[in-house]
Amino acid sequence: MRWRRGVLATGFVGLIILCSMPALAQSEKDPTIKPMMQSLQEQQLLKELRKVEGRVTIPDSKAGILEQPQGREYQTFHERILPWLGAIVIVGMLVALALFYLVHGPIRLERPPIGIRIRRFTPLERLTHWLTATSFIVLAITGLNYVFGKRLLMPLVGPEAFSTWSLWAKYLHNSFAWSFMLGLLLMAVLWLRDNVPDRYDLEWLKQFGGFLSNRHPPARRFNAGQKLIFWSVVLGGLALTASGIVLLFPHVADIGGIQIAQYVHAVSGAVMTAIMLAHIYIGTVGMVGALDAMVSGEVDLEWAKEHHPVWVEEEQARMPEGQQSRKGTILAEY
Amino acid sequence: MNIIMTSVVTAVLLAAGAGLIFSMTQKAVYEVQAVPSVRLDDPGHNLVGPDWSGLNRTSANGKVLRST
Repeated sequence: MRWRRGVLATGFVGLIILCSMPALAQSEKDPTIKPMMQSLQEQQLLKELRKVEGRVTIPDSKAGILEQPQGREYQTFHERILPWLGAIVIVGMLVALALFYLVHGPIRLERPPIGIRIRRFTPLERLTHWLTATSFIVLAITGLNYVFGKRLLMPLVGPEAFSTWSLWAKYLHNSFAWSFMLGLLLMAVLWLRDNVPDRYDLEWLKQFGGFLSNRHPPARRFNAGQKLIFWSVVLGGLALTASGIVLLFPHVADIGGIQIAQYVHAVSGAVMTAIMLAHIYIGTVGMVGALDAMVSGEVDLEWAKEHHPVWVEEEQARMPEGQQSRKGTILAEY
Repeated sequence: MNIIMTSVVTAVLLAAGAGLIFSMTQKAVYEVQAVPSVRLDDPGHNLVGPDWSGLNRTSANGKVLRST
């Protein structure tokens, strides 16, 4: 009888050891897992996943997000940082340009025009420029409305009128984005070759483009300042395009991705607006004769020789006398 | 000057075309996300609250204030 009890007790103990083997093996593999010691904490979830999300059966999966602390960071950026950043960048640029104009005045030719016109831009290049410019102006006005409209415009026109305008501004922004993207692509294709940095750029930058000395450093078709504008437009435009597509098709990203796209789009837009203000200044009142190049496509030969002497030499050397070309050809005396 | 006018018209036509395609292919969120068990109303024009802060203000009786 006693030996039977001993066999049963030994068997029972053996069974317990056998059943506990998987648990023992698991705890040996991963000592951090202590299912009975602590449960998963909310802060752990936030730390690991950056948000607490459940599952919902309705189509809007974003409704399942319970906590997303980045949303508060984004709101701080959108409501506090972005308006100040945008105002400083854009108003700062306007003030700087106004001061420069008051102190320095417009950049003039060293010698008077000689009355010979030279073609500077082809019709396709001008069409591309003005297509992109028109689109960008609409995008800038409607885009700035997102940031400054409720602060500057709504107190003047009231919430109802402002809401209606903002809805239309949104439609305009989403629609003109496509003509801007097309213009951007065309510009990159048309002007990429002429905007590759060359040996004249360093000297141009050293002399600050001759803005302070009133002497024009030599340049090829585009000087270093124009190349900086070109690359700003191309790279800034790419950032705006990529982030804008995420915002136009928000289902391609989760809420974190949409917020990142908003950061990129807003900052790129503000910086691009400031850069374009400088571009508009130098292309109109800042430099005598510059606007002609993009309106008629032609400039005075003296203007071309003073601002882009290397380009004039290259074009004249390339073209046999009297032969018409798409650009760089002396067209007519007037 | 003709080039400028042509560019402006081209930009407007492209934008109008894009807008037309958008209006045919995209729907408002309240239309897309609605299901028989969840009914969503047209939120109107003002989507971000009465003061455009992104926060909904509530009145003393707890009702969400909207300007539209």
